[in-house]
Amino acid sequence: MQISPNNLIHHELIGLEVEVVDSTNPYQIGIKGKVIDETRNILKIDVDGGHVRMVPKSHTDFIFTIPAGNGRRYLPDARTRVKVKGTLLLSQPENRIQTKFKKSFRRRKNK
Amino acid sequence: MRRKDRKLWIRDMAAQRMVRLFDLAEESFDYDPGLSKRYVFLARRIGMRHRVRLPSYLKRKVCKGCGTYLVPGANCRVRIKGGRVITTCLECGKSSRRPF
Repeated sequence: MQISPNNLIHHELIGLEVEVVDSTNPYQIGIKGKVIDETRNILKIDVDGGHVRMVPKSHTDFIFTIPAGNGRRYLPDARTRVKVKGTLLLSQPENRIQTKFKKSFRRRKNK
Repeated sequence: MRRKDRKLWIRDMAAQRMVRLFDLAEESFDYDPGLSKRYVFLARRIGMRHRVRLPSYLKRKVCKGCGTYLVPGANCRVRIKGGRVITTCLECGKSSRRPF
């Protein structure tokens, strides 16, 4: 099973391209780079080689770029971009496999 | 999803993430050995949490004493002695033996 939009929040985030699109801290909107480390509350993002920014997961929306799957549902060469609410990622990296994607989150998202 | 299926799904996911972290550790060793150590630490922690073993070919790449990612020629010494492969970590000095 490859990394896909369905299992992104349970999968490894380190190594993925990421962009901060929404945050309560306006200085953090637009940060773009590669995830190099992850803790319970923070993603460490490497912005253009060597410069590391720490972004809290809560109150932040991320867009992750993941390699496309077998090309069945997505374009074969294109990369898939997935927008994720940071609150969904809020747990230690090894516990994130077990977190359940509750329906309440979906409902809140639709409103 | 049945309870058993869910458990298998979790184990599968954990195994994938461990392999992925080791790939990243290998990649980052050239410019930041500290970071690769951190990735190995995360991979082992995932394995402990979900009771997934490291595959034997990855287990050899980790120092049992300090958890460093081992690269022959850079931070470990590999010798054959008495029918065993002896890997010595040059960071902490711990050596591990396995049959050849």
